[in-house]
Amino acid sequence: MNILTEILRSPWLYGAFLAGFGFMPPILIRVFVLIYPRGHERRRELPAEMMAVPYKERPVWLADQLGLALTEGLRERLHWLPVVAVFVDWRRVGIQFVMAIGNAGLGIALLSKYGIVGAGLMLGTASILLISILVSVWRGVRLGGRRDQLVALLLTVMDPAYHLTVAEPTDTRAKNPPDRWIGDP
Amino acid sequence: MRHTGSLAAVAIVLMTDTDDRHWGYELSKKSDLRSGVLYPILARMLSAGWLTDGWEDPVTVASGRPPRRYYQLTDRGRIELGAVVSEARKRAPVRTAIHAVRIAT
Repeated sequence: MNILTEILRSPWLYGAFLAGFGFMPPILIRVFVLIYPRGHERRRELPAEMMAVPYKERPVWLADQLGLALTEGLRERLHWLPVVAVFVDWRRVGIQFVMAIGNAGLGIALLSKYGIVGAGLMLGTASILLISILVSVWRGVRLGGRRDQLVALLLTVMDPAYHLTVAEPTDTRAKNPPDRWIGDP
Repeated sequence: MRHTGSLAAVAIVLMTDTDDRHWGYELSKKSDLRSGVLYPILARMLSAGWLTDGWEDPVTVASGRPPRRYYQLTDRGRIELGAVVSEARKRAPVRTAIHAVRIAT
């Protein structure tokens, strides 16, 4: 806690905030758009839009874009979460989550005694993530009838476009009228 | 798509000039919406086929500025957003009129 209050009291923090939001918006907006997945239109759109924003409005506009990137961009990055949800037993995850919070609290309490709060927080977060992943995978493997979905989950995590490609019908000519075929001579 | 006040605000702006190209920041100023609200609405409109998008031609862009992404109404969008605006006029006629006047000025 002392470290946190010291950081919040530090003039360097406010200096960095002013420098970032006041004088370096082009750099910051390029950092923010990295939250979006590769190839997303917003990665080009937001830096281009920034040029139209008057200088005095840019700090507020930038803060707004950070919020947008965190909601919209993260949701698109975590596109595989709904597939994970198929396997997850939420009551079990709830119990595990409470246990992980307890672990994190214990870790923080023990390690802050030695002045290593950051390590405690990292330990807690890592344990939450690890337990959630283990629970979801274990649950998926246990459900034998859903093995194909587990494979779909793994493929979706590895290849973001997989869920789009599996939705495509195999025989597109049967679905489309002849005048809509592309590439025909 | 759920008809909300924010959707109506964007619809009024888009329907003032149905043939024109619109930019994100311009839409956000005219509709008085934060970009956190506006961009998800635009994304939904795009996926519903109400809008089409594209990028400015780099040749016509002033030097030093990257090309911007524009949004333009489709024929279907004109019909759907027309319905949204007329519904908003019935629900909140005063607010809709004030908004339309603000955009016009």
